[in-house]
Amino acid sequence: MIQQKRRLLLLFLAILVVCMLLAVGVGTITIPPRQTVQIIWSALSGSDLTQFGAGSTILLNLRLPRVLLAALVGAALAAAGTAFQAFFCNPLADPYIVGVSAGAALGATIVLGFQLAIFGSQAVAVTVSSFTGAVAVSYLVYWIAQRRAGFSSLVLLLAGMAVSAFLSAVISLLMVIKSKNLSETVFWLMGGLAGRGWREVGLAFPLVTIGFLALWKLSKELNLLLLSTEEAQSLGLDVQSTRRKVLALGSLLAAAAVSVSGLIGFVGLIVPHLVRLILGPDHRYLLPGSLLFGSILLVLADLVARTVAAPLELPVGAITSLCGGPFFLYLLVQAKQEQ
Amino acid sequence: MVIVDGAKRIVEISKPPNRIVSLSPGTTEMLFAIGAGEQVIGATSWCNYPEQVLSLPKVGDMNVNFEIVAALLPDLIIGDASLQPATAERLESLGFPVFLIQALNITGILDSLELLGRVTGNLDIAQTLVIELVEDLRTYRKAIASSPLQAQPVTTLLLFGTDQLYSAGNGTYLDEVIRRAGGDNIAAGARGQWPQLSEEYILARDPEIILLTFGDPADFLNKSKWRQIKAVRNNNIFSLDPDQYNRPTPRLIKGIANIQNLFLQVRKEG
Repeated sequence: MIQQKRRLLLLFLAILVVCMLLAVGVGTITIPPRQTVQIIWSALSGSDLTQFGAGSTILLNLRLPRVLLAALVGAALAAAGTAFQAFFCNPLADPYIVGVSAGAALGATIVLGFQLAIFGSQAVAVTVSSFTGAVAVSYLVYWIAQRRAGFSSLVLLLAGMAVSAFLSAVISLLMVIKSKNLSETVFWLMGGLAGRGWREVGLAFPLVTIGFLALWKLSKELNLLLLSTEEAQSLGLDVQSTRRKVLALGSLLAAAAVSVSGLIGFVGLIVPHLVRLILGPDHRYLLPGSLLFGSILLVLADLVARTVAAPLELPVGAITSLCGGPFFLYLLVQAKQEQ
Repeated sequence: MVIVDGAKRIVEISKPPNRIVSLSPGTTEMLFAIGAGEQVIGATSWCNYPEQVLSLPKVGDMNVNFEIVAALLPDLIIGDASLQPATAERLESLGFPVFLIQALNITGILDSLELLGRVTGNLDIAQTLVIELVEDLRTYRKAIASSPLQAQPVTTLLLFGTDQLYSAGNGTYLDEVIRRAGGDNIAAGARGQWPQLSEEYILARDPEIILLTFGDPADFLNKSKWRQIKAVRNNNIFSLDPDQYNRPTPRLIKGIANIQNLFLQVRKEG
């Protein structure tokens, strides 16, 4: 059984690698896998790239960082979704449930609306500001929920919703007042990976890696969280401190994803469900499974987003929601029939 | 060549460019107007004038498709200063110089033409065109001086559509076009560059003429709330070609003549 799960994880990994190779090769100009390897080899060994023409710029500076970023964002969202679903013992929880998305959106809207920049770069300012907003708001929501005697996840949920609704109103007002830069904000909110580069990969990679590994280490505790609080405590789990860690790590992953890609819906909600169907509920396998599956899904979704209507790029968030919504409904109906 | 662009950025260009990608319909028109059309190898899907542009590769619209741009191997990218800063940053990080122009008013259009002439190696044609346009502007001024428009400009409402009532406010090139044609732009009294006018404001200012770049004049004629305003009573509602009047280009300056004729017609009737 365990052997089989390991094999499935390896299969996921293999699929991810194939998808990434495919995604790196397809686009305005097709770069065959052989040439992909040649270009990367030449770049690493520092030899002349001019023989490859536009291909090397497109591969090294556009597609490669973008595909890597799609994989990182998909991984972060799926892992965060898994964590939050365990935290709330609720299959409807998604990475944005504690207000991460609203915080990030506010951060981005402020930067885009007022045309701010850090080190002369607006892109850096958007990333930093949305990350800060995401972390700050999820902490604020946690702090509000904690002030009540006897912390309950229901209060956390409601506080998250209330704060998100409040911030959405602030964002709407900002967008109206600063309507000159409305289109940039709207596109950011729709979510997408267009124009992202190595800088964003460099930012997301350490955060996602650390966040995921720390979460993975908590797999057994996450399994226990699915029991009732009393049961978990009787088995020796410090429920309060575990929950705090899970919440912090989940928020960190979601914040990392949202700050480099905007709001991409449904990945964090659906992937854990799908992977649970394949690998079962044990978080030791569910977490890495979700990570890989989330990566695969977003790499493919971004590939569709940038090729299907070229030269127009569709927002990848719209693609994931377009496919994700009906699929999730299908899952819901299936579950009902089984009952 | 090191040159400061219209957005006050320092741009370094190694040789006269012959693989230009243009990122706005306005810059595309200007490039063709100064004789740099042959050097343009890519434009946006919104660029439609002059006709030769239609056959060029499309590099996106408001959102630039970076892959297509990179595949064209441009030696210069030219855009409007309203280009998203993140887009300009990204293109530069790919190694392509980005040159922006700022054409917020008519002086801006003339400056931009000369600047583009300098950057693309077509300074002579650009300067000849600028002199011609300045001459046109003088003609419009003389026409006003010798007409009733001098004493009594035509109160004008310009709208980008009949639903949302967005107009061109003080300091925009369309505001200037109206003034130079001999009109009084009622939106100049509203706050903001592109203000959304309220129905009450329009009724209170009672425009004599309505110019529409989008939308159907019938929307005004058939609604009882607009029946009282002079422009509707005298049927002085005109559609303008949006491509000509919503872009800061030489065509816009030439188009002032058309608007001036409409104004003179309104005065003659009144």
